[in-house]
Amino acid sequence: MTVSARVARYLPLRDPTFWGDNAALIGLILIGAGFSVLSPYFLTWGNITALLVSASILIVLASAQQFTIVAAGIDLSIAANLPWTAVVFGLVFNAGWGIATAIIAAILAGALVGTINGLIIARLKVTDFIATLGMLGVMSGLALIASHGQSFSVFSGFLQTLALDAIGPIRYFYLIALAVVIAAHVLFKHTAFGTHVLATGGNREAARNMGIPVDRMRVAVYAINGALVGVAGVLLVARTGGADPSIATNELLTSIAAVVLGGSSLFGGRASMLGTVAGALVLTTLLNGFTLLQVSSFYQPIAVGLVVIAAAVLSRFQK
Amino acid sequence: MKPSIFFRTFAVATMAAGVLVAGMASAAPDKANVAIVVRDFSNPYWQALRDGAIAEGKKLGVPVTVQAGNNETDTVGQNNKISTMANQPYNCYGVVPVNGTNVITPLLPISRRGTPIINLDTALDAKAVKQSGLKLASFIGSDNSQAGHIAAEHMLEALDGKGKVAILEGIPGEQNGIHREKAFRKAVKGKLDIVQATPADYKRSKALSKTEAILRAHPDIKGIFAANDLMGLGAARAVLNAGKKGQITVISIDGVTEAIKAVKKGTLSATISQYPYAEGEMAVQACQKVVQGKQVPDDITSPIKLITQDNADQALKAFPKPFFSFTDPFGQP
Repeated sequence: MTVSARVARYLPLRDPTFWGDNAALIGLILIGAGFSVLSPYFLTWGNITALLVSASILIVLASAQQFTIVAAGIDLSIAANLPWTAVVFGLVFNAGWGIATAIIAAILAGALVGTINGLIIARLKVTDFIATLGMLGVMSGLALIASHGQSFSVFSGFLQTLALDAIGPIRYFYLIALAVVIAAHVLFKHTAFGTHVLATGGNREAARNMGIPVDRMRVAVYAINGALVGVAGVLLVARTGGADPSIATNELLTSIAAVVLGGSSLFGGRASMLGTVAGALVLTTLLNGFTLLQVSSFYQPIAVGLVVIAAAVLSRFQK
Repeated sequence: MKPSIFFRTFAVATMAAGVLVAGMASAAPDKANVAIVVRDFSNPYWQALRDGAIAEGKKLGVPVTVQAGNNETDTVGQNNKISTMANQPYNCYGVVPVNGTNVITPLLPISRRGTPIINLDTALDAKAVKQSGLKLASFIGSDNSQAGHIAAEHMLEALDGKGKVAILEGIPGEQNGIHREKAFRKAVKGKLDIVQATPADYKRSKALSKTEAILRAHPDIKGIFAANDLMGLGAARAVLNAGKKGQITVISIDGVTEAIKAVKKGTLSATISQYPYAEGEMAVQACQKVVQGKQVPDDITSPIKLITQDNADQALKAFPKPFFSFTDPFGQP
């Protein structure tokens, strides 16, 4: 039996829904294969590590974004909530409260922003786009006020360990991202809460008629989203050695792109953490490979944009 | 159980790559292989640094690669570039950080294996560098406080030492802009009246709209100091639109081509030209020296110059190189 025939027995390659459901994963494999042919450095453990570390913050942010997108929402305020949590983390730590308190403060600060987003959306009946766009402005201003408009150094041995050290060959940095992903996956697929959130996103009226507290679900997903942004904020400070109040537009756009690449519908009701991780890895891999190959930075966003569109086309064939 | 085809292929590829890396690194130990990471390439300032580095690399026969983040505040993107390039056989790294700390963590693995790193243009926070244990071979950059001071002196001269001025600031928290503004404020203190200081994020369009607002709020304003040229050009445009050309002195810093041309035309009163092109050249020269095991100074100041209508032509002719002589520790490039 030929290899392709053997593969075909296990994978339904002729079934278009197979390609639609696994667009990001397939893309990741193809892109990875391409880069490993083109660059001898791509498939080295050092580079794979660099890639995973580079993807970690994005994976956590995309997980955060996944929560709102599942409920048919979207969080634009991530671009400001991220620097806001980083600034809160930095200020609390630099004031001498210790690392644990600072981490909790960052997560609470993020969750607070998320909760406010959720309340504006669910209680005041403002669309997700507008509510989070408004909070984007509010929080970017507050981050600037809290930090006096200055980026500042946040140094701790713990953060340096977190950013650079490893258990064996496995770096702590992406273990945290992995933990977030697994927790989110379990929440979506194996808890009543997850089922209710999916139902809320899929068809709000039907969910309401089934007795699901739809408004509370929507506030909850934004609160979780905010808390995860807080986790990403801590990772950001560990990686950049300081807190910078500048607005993080790149992170916002790539977090949405990663989720969409991963096969989640912007209309809600679908969650695929594996897809989201693959989506984040596709985006990071593209930039990593182009950097290795010394492709000009100007071409990089074109490739990223085309991949996002290609994935969206493929996802039309989803089950 | 036999290892899967994938695993075997992966292992072979990894080994092959390892051998290749080792081979390339040891082939030419006395020759630099330079990697430079700047902030972004949409600002002509960083383009000039890149061009200077690449030109000098060609001259010395040294391979030079220059990469950048997505924008002026892309701390994470810049880090990811550094982490990626850390796994390639470069033996000297030059970095323009986004802020005082953002590149320290990804640079540490490079520093720990003893590869020289040169801090370019924007100084890293000295305390954070020390705490983290990062080793820097040198700093090459212009004195931004000095640039702010020169701008202030020219403003005082143009305004006869009195009048209302406004400041257009860069991205909040960006160090170079802060140094420029601080020095400007210090030099004009007690003489000029700073009625407003507002960030325009180093962007031309933002500077244009902010200046329009400033002109409405303070119709009697006499001068505008912009922390970079793009904002200076935006402010000059707003002044022109308001029909106040010649009545308001606009001064900015950087010396990009368009700004020097504007100075020549008279829409911009002056620019304090820094020479990122020279910074790029010196970065490659310094890398070559360090890789050959020679000493380089800890702190190298790249040249700056006040460009007015008197010398704009000269500046344009020599652009992007300086039109005057300056102290280059590596000999005149």
